[in-house]
Amino acid sequence: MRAVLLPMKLVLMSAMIVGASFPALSQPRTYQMFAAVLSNKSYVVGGENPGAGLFVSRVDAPGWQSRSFSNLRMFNLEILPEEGEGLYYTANGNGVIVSRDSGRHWRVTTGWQITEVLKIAAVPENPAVVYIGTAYGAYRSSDFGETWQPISQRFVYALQIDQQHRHRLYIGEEDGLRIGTDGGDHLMRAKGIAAPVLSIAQHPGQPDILFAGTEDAGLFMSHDRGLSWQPIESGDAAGATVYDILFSPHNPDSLLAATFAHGVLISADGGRTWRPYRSGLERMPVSCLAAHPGQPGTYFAGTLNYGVFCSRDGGRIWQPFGLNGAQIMELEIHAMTR
Amino acid sequence: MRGLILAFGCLLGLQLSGSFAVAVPGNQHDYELRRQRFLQTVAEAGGLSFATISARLALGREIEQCRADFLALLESPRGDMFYSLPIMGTYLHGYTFWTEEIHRKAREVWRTYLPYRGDTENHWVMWHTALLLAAQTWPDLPASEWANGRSSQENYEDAREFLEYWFRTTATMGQGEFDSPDYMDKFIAPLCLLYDFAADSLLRLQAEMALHWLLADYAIDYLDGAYTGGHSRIYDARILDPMTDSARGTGYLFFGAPRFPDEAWHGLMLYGALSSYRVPDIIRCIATDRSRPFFARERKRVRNIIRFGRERNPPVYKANYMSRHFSLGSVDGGLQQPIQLHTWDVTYLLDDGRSDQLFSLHPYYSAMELAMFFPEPVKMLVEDIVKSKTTYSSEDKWTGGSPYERTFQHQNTLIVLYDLAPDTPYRHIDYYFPKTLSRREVDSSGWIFAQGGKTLIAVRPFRPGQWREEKTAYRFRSPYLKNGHVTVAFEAEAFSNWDAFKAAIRATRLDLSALDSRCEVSYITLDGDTLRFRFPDQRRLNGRAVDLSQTPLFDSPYLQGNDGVLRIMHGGETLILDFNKPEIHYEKAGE
Repeated sequence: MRAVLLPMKLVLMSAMIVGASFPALSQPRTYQMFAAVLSNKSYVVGGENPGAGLFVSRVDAPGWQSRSFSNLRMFNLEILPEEGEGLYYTANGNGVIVSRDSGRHWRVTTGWQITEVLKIAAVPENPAVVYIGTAYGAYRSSDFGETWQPISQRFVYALQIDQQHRHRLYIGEEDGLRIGTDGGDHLMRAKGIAAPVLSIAQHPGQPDILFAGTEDAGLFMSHDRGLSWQPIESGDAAGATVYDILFSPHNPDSLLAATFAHGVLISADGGRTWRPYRSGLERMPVSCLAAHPGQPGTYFAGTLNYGVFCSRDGGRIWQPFGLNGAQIMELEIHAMTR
Repeated sequence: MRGLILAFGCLLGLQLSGSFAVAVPGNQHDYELRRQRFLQTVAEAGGLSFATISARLALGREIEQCRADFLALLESPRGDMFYSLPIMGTYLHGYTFWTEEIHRKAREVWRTYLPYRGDTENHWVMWHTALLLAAQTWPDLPASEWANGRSSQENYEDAREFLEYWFRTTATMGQGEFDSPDYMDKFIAPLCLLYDFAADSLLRLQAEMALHWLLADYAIDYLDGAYTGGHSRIYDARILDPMTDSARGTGYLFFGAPRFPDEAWHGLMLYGALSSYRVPDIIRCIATDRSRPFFARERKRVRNIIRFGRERNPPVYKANYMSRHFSLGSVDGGLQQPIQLHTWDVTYLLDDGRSDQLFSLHPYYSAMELAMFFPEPVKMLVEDIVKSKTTYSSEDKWTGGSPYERTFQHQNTLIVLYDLAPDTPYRHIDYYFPKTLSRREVDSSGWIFAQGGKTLIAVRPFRPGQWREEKTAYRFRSPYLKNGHVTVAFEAEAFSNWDAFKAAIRATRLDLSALDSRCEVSYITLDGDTLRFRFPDQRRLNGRAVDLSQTPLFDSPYLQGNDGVLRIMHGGETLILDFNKPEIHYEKAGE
């Protein structure tokens, strides 16, 4: 659940800017990218699915390696590399599967009741607290996923933890968005948005501003921390299906949106206007995005059935970056810690 | 633990059905012959498969090759629950044959291979059965010894809890993947393995009761090998060649269908043939006694609706009129299953022991329908599904439900109404008239008269259409938004001759005056009953509203069931399955 980690990415960016004061951070850093792969192009249940699960590659050149069981249907992930020996949360058809040693060992922490886990988000400051969105509702755990308390009972498309108020949640559902307070104990419906909400992103510096991407209803923006929403009427953004929204870690006025039919939408004015860029992504559904923390203008896009792509010019032109034929559901980039 | 399993397996090998009077000796002899035929057929099959290994071992042949083959399969895990279940079936049934290396490899699979546990009812039953048997076979192991990172005890408890849930749900709400010629063996096989190998006596009892339950459910729709009426899931291939469905193997083995279904693959049902489970004779009698016609109603449930629905598991209402040589059966219609729903048919027996079916459908597909049942991105679903269900989006497909289709059945009369939305992908309905029909006459009255075997069928399309000859059938395509038909079926002996049949049907009264305005029709049957039907769900029989919501799980002369209890009745005897306790009762008239 990359969006939740935005603050961490900004911390990283800030640390790099002031790196002279921190010798350990002033050295060149290397990064690795994590991909949640739902399936390969030809998979059907009962067949072989060697290209699915968690994959890891360095970001300078594609060199993907499986880091989990190969035949999971992985929908989402949350990587906390600094936590312990590397805490990996993954959301799968089989439930929540967790590694606490950077993928060497795994444990299914959910029982038969929790299945089709689609989203997962942990609280970075307290990673024992983790939320999931499933086909049957949202749940909360306070013990690294060992036990779960239900929050809602409806299909969850998107799940976002507020970056300041960690007990506040944004849950995308089929008819809009609900806001959970007190860790989801109380839910209220947001106003002004009635379409399925597939993606949510919070402004890294102005947390009252949020964006939501929908199925067939384009992008929405909120200026009151998600309580009310206004559609963004901007060319191709209107009516688009938006699977992911990404703030540039280097310039929060620069945003990217992953869409089903419009390639990558890019805004350079804080989300008011958007333009589509498809070069290299023609006819490909784009499902998720990630930014290179150390190289402004370098972005990665996950696609549905076509693998990962990379742009080094701010999202204008895209080139293949491996995992061809895979359905990529999520990408995260982290500094290598070990 | 190995010793314990061995002793238990031997014990089971000697027992028959412990809780109920079993087949009489003559039937038992016949059963053994069929079982041998089953084993022989699977043993002769080529290729590397768990079932073939088990069949050969059971026949005591090619032991060394079986060991080598099993080892080869253990060394390349793949296939999710379709691997995990047979691995345990073959491992436990062949336990005494295995070398230390094989025992070690079988254990290793569970330490290193984590399959996808699936997204539907048959997947989950197979997976949790396999997991329970594995956890029981290798108890007391820590989490590090299991690929899923859970201890033997955790795995056992999780699987046990799921199975408890499934027993309870099936006995109170019905199955979601109900009455499927293609998927029934995916339930029968795991239940047989639980019956044979579960160490928990309560679980063995529940497995036995569930086997009785599912087989009784099958028996009421069974006609000489054919699984008749509406189905939750069936593949196009089974429509085109009904002899290839795997349920025929179940029918042959347990009910003694007259013809062994050579055309079908019986891999999973092999575990039924190996099982010590024996179907109670009362159920076999229900399956085979067609001395008098009967009308059966049932309630099932829709598979889990995860979005775009008001209810998680809405009810499905079934009706089936069963006669000696045919059945006319239906579900009430709508989007009750994604992809493979078979809403209604007339199944008729042919003189050579085969059967075939006549039906209609509206070829519908949509991403929204799939999204109700599958969690993947909506816009990708059609493309994803077509990878395995290749005809899903075809205008010519022969399986699938439609939101624009509803049925109203009373005895051997069925009205089907279609109220197609103008923006639906295909604005026509198709009828499947098999080439096995010996007669097919388009009458100037508007009726289509047909005969298949000893069954007379009359179909009255509400709109005209065009005929197209295909490999196995004549397709009648009718391109109208408000559409439908009346279909009736009779034993040939009910009429003195073909002309008398046609004359009688022509004389019945059909009122189509409200079809355009309200999508409503009425029809007076040969018996004088008046059926009035307005799309989608207003059904009136002789002036009185028909309330399907009052339908119990089972309602027929042979099966009465609801709320976890099923009474199976035949010949003055009653077998009672009570999942609330749980226990099996047997009652005889006069006792």
